[in-house]
Amino acid sequence: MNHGPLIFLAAFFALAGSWFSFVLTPQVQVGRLDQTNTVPAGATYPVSRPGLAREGLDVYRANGCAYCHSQQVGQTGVTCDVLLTAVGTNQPALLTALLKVKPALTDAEARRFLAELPKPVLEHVTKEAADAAAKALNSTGGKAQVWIVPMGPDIARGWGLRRSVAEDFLFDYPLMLGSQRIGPDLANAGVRLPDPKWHLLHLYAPRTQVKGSMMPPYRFLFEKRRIERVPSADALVLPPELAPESGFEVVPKPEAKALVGYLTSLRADAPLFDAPLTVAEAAVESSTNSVAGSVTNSASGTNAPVK
Amino acid sequence: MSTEQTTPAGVPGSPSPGPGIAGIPNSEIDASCRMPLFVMFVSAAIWLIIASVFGLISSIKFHSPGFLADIAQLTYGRVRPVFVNALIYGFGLQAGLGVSLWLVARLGRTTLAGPVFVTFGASLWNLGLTIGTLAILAGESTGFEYLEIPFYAALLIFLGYLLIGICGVLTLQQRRERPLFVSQWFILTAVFWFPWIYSTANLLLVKYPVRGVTQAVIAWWYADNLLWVWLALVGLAAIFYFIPKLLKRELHSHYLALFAFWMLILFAGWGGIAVSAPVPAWMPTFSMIGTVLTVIPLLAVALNVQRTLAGNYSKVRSEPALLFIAFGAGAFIVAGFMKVCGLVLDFNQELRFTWFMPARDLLNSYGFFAMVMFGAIYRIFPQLTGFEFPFPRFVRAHFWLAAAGVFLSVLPLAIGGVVQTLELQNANIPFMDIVKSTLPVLRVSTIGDLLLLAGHLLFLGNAAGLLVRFSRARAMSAYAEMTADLFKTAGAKP
Amino acid sequence: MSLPSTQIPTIAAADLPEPRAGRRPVPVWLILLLFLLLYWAMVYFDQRSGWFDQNVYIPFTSIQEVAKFQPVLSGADELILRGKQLYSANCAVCHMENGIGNPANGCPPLDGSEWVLAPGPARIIRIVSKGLQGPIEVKGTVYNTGTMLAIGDAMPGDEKQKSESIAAIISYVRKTFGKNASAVTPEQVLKVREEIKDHSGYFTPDLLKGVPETP
Repeated sequence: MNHGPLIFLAAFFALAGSWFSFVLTPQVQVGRLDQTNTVPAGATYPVSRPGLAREGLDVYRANGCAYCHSQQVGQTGVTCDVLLTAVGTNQPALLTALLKVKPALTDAEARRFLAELPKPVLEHVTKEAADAAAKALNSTGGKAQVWIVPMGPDIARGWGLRRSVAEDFLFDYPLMLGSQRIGPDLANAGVRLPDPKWHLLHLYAPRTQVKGSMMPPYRFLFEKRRIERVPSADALVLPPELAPESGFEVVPKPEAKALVGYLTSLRADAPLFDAPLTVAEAAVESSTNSVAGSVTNSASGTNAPVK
Repeated sequence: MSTEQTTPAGVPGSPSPGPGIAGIPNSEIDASCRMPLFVMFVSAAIWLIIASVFGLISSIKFHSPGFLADIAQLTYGRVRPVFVNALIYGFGLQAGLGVSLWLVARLGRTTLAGPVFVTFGASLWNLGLTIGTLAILAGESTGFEYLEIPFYAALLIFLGYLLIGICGVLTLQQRRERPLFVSQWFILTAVFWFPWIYSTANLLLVKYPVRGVTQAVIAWWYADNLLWVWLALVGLAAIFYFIPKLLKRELHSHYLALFAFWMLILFAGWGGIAVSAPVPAWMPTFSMIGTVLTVIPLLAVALNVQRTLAGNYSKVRSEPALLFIAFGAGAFIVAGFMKVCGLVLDFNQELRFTWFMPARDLLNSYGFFAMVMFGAIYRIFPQLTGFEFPFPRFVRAHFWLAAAGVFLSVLPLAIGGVVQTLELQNANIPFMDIVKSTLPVLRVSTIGDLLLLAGHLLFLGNAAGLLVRFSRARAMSAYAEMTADLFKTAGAKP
Repeated sequence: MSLPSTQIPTIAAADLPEPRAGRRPVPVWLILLLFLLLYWAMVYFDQRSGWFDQNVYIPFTSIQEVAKFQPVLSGADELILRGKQLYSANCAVCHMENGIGNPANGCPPLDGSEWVLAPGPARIIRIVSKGLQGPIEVKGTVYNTGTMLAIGDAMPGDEKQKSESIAAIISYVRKTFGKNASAVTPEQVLKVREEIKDHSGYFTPDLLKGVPETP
């Protein structure tokens, strides 16, 4: 029997199967995603990056930053907290409800609790338990909220408030999610490290900003030049052992500024339908700013601990 | 180098074709393969040195970040993709194709079809890869792992592959020995596999890019298929050929090998998507299923190889090429299980970002595939030229250097990766402490890289030396032929 | 001159025979293991894949679970959310998304405007319902050239639905630009609209000043 065509057919169908599952179906399902709305504010998400940040993405690609840095936050679970924000008009009833929800409290502790609002009543409970507790507290006139809290080592480390999802990457090309964490994850770098001056110094001399860093210095993204009349506003403020001789200053090249613009635009913490999350009562605006040409990005009221 | 006689007693099958099959003698087959395989094997050896040098540079940059940092073209983010591309495309695929062509020709007892085209294809391949490497160093990388070579150079590589692949298929088609040996199944599939995945990836990621996270899915699919299907197919083809041949035993089971073949091509290309990837849950679920199911072909291969080798381990030690190939077979199994365990046991989704993964990939592409290729080339190259290697001792020395290098590169990185995972799990450990704890591991792996580089220099020395020896002998015999008449007429002794 | 063939070791003329493969069968236990793993795969897929739903991401296992964890809006929140969407569609074109207005077109700001910050909604309900013709003084500046159309009256639906839309817009505006001023309920709007239903034409600031500010 001539096995040649049989082998070819076998290979064809095997590869066609994997192509169908991992190329065609994702393209049909995720490749045609469009902007979505944050939940519950209804802001459009994501907003495409401003021009400077897009140029920065190209610098990121050309220098292979993705070989040390990842840009995706993982999540291993989700849990609920119950936050009591206001006492309302009927304090005695609220007190009773509070003691029922948290039997471990003594009467005095409960009163002190009510004096220190807003405070979490229950932490890391199931949705059902949280809903029941919130209902009990709300029915007395107090204001209790159920907070959805994503969990995972990345989130605990402050690298993000929730996992990264497909909508976070709608407008980026090429998409460089990275496969190694030789350096920290950058998905929310714009939230954690919003100061462009920090980034410029970090690129020029990483160890001045992060002790023991393995990151190479990117001095070729900067230029040392003679000070003309007045020092430039962009000039880096370097420690004495790295500062240039007097009369000279170190200024970032356009690539460095673009890269920093890109890094400070990185955020993926808007609550979405497929990545539910409760954030603090921030402005109801969309979560990325697109002030053209500006390098900074204001940090909205998110809860990420500084890391 | 062993010089056994033909048809030792008790071994089924005969070296010369059976009655009714007009096979072409091996010397003619080898002669037809000479030109293309010289180009491919020596180029592969050169690319291997390039890869080693760049790999060493990347490795040094971890404990001395300022090393060569002021040269933009040599920043880590450009040096690392050059190392990977030179290793996989420059050495891996090129040596793999060369070995595959020879296997198909020999097993089919026919000459290689279109050796000139194959040589031209190999030249296109090398040209494309050179342009691509320079482009990456200049900052023109595409941004996708394993696909960093820009489109214009990738096109040259693709065309080169097509020429080589078509000649391989033609060689198979015009075979004199019609029944297929298992290696031919593997090779034919591999020849077909690469153009599909390479063209899909380049078209959908570089030329007409898809949107958003689909880019990552396709890039992961491509890398998985390249490293865990293509390399596996060609490497297993060589393993299933050389181990029985060099031991002068038969392969334990034809059906088990084919079973492994089917299971491999059905499941091995499904493992690209990690659990924490920003894609809907069904994709990582498919990847998990595919990866776990690769346990079946792993066991099938392990069983087949072990039962073929059984009781003959002393013979393995006596034949250097067999040392390489047996080591490669073992590495294939271990790397495969590292892949399965790395996915199944990654409870906190951090392992995939640690040094465990580069260790696993190194064990697969180098510990398995490169070692098998070394063994195969150490057998094939002398066969092609008709001469022995100029430095036979280097072959064994290369093996021990390579084995030590693999061991020192892979094991510490794998252990370091597991330690990293456990530390990343605990948010109270600052990230910089975790980075610091990986430094000793990285230093040991740099030593491993040095040993590997030393081995590669021995390999290049032998390969180039053999080529020189062959060319000199050829030149001398041509000279002797030309001058024979002169001396005859002159009456003097030649 | 002789060929140095004796000095270079050549390999023997004959080479090893090509390998053959034995015909032993695949072990049964391996096939059994395969089927076991396939069974596991089916169960795993059922439990973890979310059945191809593009909105189900690990760690969620089904779309019902994702829906379960969505934030629940109380009445006031939903109203404000709807108001934001209506504002973007109807009001932002003149008053801008951030409420700073467009002085060139005679459009006063809402952000910090005393008309928005008023303790009661009586005046603002009138403005939104029937429109406004200036000149109107907002935050010290007089705006003369613009006319606001009767956005509220133009809302779709019956009186009840119009009142809900107007209440949503005003609640959003007061919360966002009025420094978290109190929301306005649809019932309040309905009551005011009942009072002004016979009013034709735009309101003017003089007319509005005649309306008491307190709720």
